Amino acid sequence: MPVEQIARELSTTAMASSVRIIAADGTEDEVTMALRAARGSIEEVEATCSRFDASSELSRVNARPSGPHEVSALLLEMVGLAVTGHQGTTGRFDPRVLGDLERMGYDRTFLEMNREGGHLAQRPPRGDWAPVVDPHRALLDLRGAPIDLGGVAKGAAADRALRAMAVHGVHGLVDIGGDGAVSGPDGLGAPWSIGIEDPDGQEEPVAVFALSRGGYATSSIRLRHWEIAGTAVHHLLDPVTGQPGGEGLRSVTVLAASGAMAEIAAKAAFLAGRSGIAQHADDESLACFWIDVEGRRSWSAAMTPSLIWVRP
Amino acid sequence: MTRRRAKRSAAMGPALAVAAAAASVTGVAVAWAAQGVGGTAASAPTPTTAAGSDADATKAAQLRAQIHAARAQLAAGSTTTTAPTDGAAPVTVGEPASQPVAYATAPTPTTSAPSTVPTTTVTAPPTTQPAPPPTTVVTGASGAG
Repeated sequence: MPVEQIARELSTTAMASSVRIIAADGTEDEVTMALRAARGSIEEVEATCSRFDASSELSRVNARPSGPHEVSALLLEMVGLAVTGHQGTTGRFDPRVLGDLERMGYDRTFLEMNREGGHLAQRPPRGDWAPVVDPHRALLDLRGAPIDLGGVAKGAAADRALRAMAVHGVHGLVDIGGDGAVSGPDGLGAPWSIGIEDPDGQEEPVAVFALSRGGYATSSIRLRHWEIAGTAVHHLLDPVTGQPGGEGLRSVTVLAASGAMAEIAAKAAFLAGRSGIAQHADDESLACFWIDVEGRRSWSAAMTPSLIWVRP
Repeated sequence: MTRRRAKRSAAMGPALAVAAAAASVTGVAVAWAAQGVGGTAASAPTPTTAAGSDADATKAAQLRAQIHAARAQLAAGSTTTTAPTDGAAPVTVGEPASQPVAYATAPTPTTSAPSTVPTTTVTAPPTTQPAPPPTTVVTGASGAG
């Protein structure tokens, strides 16, 4: 009997990233509906949470960050995830770095930004982030601080897309710009095989891990780095100082229960820096793989069971 | 359903999702707390009685009652018990429930001691194959614009 040929994959572009949506199971009709629903779900997150689109709901709230706004359940969900991430990482994840990023010139998409116009400014440390997130009255109050949800939105969008697929009885993988999540094994019943990109740009991955459920994310400075007055900077900022963080690291990959949590945890782990990331991973029982500026590859004990190959 | 009510209903899902996510982020702490709940079993002495004696049976029943009361107090955080009415020594059971005794059995990190350099490096790769297995996707920065 011939194997049923179904278009089980959809590739598109959203959130300034390449997107891959892969269905592992389901009939042709189910897969068609699931892929469509997943894409729509991701587009909805982009339209709601983009800081580069002046018409997005987030941009509307950011433009007047003091005072309550009636907002969608989706934006509340995203901000709620960010609050959870902020609290769960004791402040290492902080969407209020938006102001610092904009001062450094990252006030539009990275491809469009003016790399000559930024500056590094010193500022005093900020207190805890505690916006008002009221799902009962559908209200959001950022309490004066505009935010960037770029640190959680891709992972959260992947999670949401998988839920949209599940409505049609389909499981699979959703990858958005290198961050993503899976909702079960692949089409052959085996874990998905996911590579970790070489920060030097070589095509061959530096490692490969297996994943049957949960999310994955990589925080890397490979692409988003530039110079300000002769100083090399990148987009992963320490929220305490507002300056680029993660000294000594080039790339951190984390596996977690969801795409959103992986994305948050990867940033927090990166900001621990080369000197602190091992302890941080141990303390959090984090499945974590990191590459330092000298190319050394290391991983936590919790990562070991998932690794199926590391470049010799 | 009004528009506002519909929004409220829709928002409840995310609220639950946030709670679940919080549990994920603080999963370690939650797991350890759960260990604390279940790790303080009281080691009360088992009353011994002489078979066939009504007096001993009564005494044993009293002792069981004392132990029961002691356990109730233990649960409330006290180590002392009400003195028995027959003049016997008070029965003391276990340690205060508030003592963090569960941490003795809590899971410890499986990696090596903290250091200023990565200490969890595993020198032997999971496989010695020179070429990587086929991958479905690659996690990293190249997919982001």
